[in-house]
Amino acid sequence: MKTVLFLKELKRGWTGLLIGTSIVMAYIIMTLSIKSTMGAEMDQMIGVFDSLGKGFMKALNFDIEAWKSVLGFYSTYFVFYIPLIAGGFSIAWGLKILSKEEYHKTAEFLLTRPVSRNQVLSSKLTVLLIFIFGINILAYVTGLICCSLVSEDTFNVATLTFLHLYGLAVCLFFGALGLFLSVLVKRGRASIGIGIGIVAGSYLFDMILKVYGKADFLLYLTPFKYINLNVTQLNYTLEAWRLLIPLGVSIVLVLLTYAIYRRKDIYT
Amino acid sequence: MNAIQTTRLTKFYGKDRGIENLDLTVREGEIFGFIGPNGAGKSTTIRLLFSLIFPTSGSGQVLGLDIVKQGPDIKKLTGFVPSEVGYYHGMTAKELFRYSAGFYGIGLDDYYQKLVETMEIDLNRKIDDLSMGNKKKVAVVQSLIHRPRLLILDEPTSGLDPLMQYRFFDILHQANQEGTTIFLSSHVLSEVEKFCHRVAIIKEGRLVDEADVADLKKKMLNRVEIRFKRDLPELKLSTPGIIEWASQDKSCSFLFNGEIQKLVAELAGLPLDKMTITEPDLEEVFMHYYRDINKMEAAL
Repeated sequence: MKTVLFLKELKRGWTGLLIGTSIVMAYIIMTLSIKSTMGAEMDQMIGVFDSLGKGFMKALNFDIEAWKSVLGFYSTYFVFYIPLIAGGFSIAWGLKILSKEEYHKTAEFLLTRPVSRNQVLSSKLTVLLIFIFGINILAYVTGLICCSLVSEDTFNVATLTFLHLYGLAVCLFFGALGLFLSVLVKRGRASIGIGIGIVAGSYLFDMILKVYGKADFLLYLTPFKYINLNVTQLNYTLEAWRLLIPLGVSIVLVLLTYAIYRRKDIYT
Repeated sequence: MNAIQTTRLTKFYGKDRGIENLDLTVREGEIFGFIGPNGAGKSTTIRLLFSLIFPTSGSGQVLGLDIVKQGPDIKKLTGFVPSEVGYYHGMTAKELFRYSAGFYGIGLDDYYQKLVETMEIDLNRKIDDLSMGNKKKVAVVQSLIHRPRLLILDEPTSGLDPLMQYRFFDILHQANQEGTTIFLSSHVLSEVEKFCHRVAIIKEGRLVDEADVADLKKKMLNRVEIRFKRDLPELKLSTPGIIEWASQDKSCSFLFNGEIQKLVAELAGLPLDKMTITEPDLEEVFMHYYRDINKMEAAL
């Protein structure tokens, strides 16, 4: 790693981290504040959502019964704030952190300094990891505080922690995917729109498969499969495979990125 | 040791030719000119030397270090002024210098201060707000602050006003006297002619000649222009080495690379009024390589 490059990336990227984290935190606070005000209207709401049909409820992972507990309610919306919003930011950061040097025509300046391609990638990867861990840790802390404030009873902190660990693994996968895609494109034309499209597309794919209830094996192709949202089940625990598969794929993508970037022709 | 040595260095972009079998030698301590039109392969060569792109085949060394395997070591010893300057948005010139110096593990010393003053750089202005010429000045200073052993310049004076060009070449002369090798890729042939010890001409990705500027000019044909005292409509000189013969009324002109003694002997019996023999400038040499190379090869 090259410290001077690492510090520059950190300094120039922190506003992106701030924006991403603020959105996720605001969303968590907003949804849990709704839960705190639902109380008396819960039966009425159950009626409204029941009328939408089971397929729709399943696709959106809405389990109205689970809403009675704070973690059940939290898990319903978890898919939006972590895999979708934080994951969207993760893939965008991954796409941008390397390709922006070519896109903004600064790659020539950077790569004519005494720095190896591996050092460039390691410095940028470290910053990417800090951002992904940063947004996930702050989201976790926000979730923890909000759940504590909203919950009338005690809730299982370990369950919340496991849920966020799954979310972190998925965000790391999206970050690694973004990085990998960015090294494949020429002249830095890695579009953040494509990244967001991949995240949203995989979510839609996951939804459609759940609605049809067939070809369940295809669910393993979407990162959402690796987040266990059934937090109300009694034996909810940390399942290693749900972490190891996305992390393993992430490691492979990062290693491939190193291999390609080492010999990539840089154009400006 | 040679500052730059390439052996059959080749780069293809898919099916498109970048450079082909380029054998280039730049000696340490010299000021070397690298000339050719757009698309000839000058920038491709420079990008290969800096491992921005990788060769299709062949090899290259910069200061004895392999361009593929030892890129970071090469960059410690080299400075670079690109033809088009791209810097980070929102950075001031001073921040950029500090950032660049950080890669070399050096601080900004008196030499840097002197360069900044000579090039009249406003350190606190954002680089985004600078004109092309001022950005080029920033590029010149950042290429020198670590006192490189080899300085590679790609069209360095484009955008610089004449005063800054003068100061720039003054800085380069000084750096060269202190031991820095200079590799200057340029379209501006007059500046290459004035500034460089040796020059290489690249055409369609291949090196067509590499020689001392003076020798290259000597190798070329001299232009002879003669005016006679009266019309000589049937005149045709027979001395070997005359090409591109043209005559009109009382005058004639031609390119000549034969023995001047024989030409003078033949002209002695003619009613000469005025005669000039001019050595070609580098621009003419260059144009010959590009326009009249077949004729010239036949004549030589």
